[in-house]
Amino acid sequence: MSKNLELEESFIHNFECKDLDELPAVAQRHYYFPGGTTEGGRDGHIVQVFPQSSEPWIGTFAFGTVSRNGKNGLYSWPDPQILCVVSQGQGYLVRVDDPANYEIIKVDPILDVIPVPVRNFVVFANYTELFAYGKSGPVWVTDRLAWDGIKLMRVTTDHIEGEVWDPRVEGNVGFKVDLSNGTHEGGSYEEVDDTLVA
Amino acid sequence: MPQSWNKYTYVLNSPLTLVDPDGLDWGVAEWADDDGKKHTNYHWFNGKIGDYGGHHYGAVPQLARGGSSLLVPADNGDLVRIRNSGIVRAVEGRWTPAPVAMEGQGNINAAAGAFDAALPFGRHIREALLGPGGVETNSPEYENAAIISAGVVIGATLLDGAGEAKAATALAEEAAPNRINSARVLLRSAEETGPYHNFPESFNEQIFQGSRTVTRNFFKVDRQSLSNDSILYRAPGSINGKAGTFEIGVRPSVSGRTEVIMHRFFRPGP
Repeated sequence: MSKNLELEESFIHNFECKDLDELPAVAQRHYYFPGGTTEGGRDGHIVQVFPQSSEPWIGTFAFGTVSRNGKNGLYSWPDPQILCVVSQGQGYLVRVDDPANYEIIKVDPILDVIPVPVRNFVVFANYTELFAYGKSGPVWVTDRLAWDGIKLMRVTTDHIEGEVWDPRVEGNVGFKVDLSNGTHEGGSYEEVDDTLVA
Repeated sequence: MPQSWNKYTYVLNSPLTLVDPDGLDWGVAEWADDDGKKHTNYHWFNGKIGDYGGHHYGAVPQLARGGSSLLVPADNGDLVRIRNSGIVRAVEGRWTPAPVAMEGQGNINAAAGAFDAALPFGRHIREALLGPGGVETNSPEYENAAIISAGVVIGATLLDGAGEAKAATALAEEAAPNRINSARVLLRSAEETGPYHNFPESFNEQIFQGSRTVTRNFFKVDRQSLSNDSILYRAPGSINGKAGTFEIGVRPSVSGRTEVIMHRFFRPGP
């Protein structure tokens, strides 16, 4: 049995939550995501949520289908009423006091997650770019950094750093993304000049 | 079975650069007609090189010396580049000249220059037709060479029979290269078992029909028999309802007959 997920608590949050192995014996409101419906849905992480100001509920967050290496995690969010669940690369943002009110994170698949509380946003990585999401939605997205895979290594107050495969040198090369605006140095992908298109 | 029939032995353990798609052997015959005009013809033989059309053929001299490359006309009018390397006579490329109207004599030097600029095999074509070093203006080959039109299109007369002209023009390679997966691609497809790295191989042909972007000197690590250029093929499509772009990046061999797939990926989004 895999280790249960624990809530990452970088941001202030008005709830607690717990990753369950199975549905509890006592019936509770049960929502399925995607859909935010109580009618039923796909298999996924079963998360029990305890909002401070409303009744607890259970959510089943369907696994992403793109990559088995997709990230799994429970994250606090810049909005204290929102829980972020990443289920095998598929990301969900759910209002804990209104579970039917949810959003799917448009990063496909989510392969890594780095909360950056000093900037009040969360950075997601897919195979080729980084995406910053804040309380009001997307903050910035980088240009393409990689051909088909990103490894995040380190975050500071100003930059996020990582490595990508560079076929030109047959090895990994570094990159550095400016957290203020998403511009970057390094990386392995360069958009080809259209004049070279044969 | 003779060891020489072993596929690897046959290509001198170099399957990336040496290919022999039809196994035919080449011969050349030279003769002069009643007016003293010289003729040269090439013919391929399925077996021992010998007589054909009333003329005696021998091994192509440039090839017999080994290591050289030559562009020769096939009997059906195609231009065929052949190269001799050890026991292998490799057919490196084949092109079908488009029918064009001849406009008589012109400035073959200018034409050859334009040809060189436009096509990578210009020098070889010129040397094959006009001899090493370029143009001999007093040679019979020169008399039979002509510009078809201004610009890059050149008509080159190939000596055959009684000087009948066959025109060659911009060359279009017919055969697709052999394509093989690199270790990197196989490793990534094993690491990432999802559809973005493991879409069906049957998609490849359609992707190769998409846009084709060549980047010169892309690769910085030299590999024997491989070019440092890269070619990126891209085609729009979707996986599980998500629109995006299929990408296949290849590293061609020096001969261009083989492409090693270095990158195979579906990128979602615009």
